Amino acid sequence: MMPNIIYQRLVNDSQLETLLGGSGRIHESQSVDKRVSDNGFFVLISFEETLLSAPSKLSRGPRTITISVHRPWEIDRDYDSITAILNRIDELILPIEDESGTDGIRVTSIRRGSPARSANHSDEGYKTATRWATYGVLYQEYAA
Amino acid sequence: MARTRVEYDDARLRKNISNFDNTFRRNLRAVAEFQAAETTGWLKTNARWTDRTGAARSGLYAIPNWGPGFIEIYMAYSVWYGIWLETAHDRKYAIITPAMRIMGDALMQKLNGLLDEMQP
Repeated sequence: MMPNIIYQRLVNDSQLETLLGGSGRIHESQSVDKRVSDNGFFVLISFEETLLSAPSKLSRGPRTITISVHRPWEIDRDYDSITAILNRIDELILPIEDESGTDGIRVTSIRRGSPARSANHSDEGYKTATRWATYGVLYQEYAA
Repeated sequence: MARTRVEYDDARLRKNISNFDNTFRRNLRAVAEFQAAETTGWLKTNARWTDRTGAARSGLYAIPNWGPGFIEIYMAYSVWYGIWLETAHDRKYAIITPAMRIMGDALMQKLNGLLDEMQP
């Protein structure tokens, strides 16, 4: 489950929608098994592990998420436009602080993860040009 | 006026200091060996694909290696298509990349307490 505030922030932004070339292009990675668009960009969000770096009574730590931007490689392998989309995603989600979405899950903060940005890649499975960004999201997972 | 006299034999201190580098390196290698064994188990347990032959899962391993000035842990697949599991389909079947974060964090936690736990 992803905190809804992140998804809402991305799908409700008209500038990001323009960069992506339309709506309905943002999905959770584990919910798709094939390339979700043959005619342009799409974004996949993947929620990974939660790390507790030291034993803590709070039992909370940042959860790693990666957000990938893909475009079918037969259309173009221009990574500047992919990077521009990642930059817009940064602008939308990094300022989130102590905010809740419609699911009531409060996100305390979002910071860049490591590595913050990937190299330019080709995804041989989806046959796309792709780059991704990594973030650490601190939120009340156990309240979900 | 009271006088205090302290006598101590610094031979043990000198010996421990002169042995410190070797002892520390030996402990680092022990931690790396332990972490590699733990990581191998973690990789096989947490690989997030459905097995067909079991070869990909059983062929995952982590091994420690060291030389002058470095200690490292290799993680690798034994099957030729491991690279595609790791990089294709938005990396949804990747296991080594998350292991670098998760097992790397576990390794750092062990190293953080290493100096405190070293025996003379």
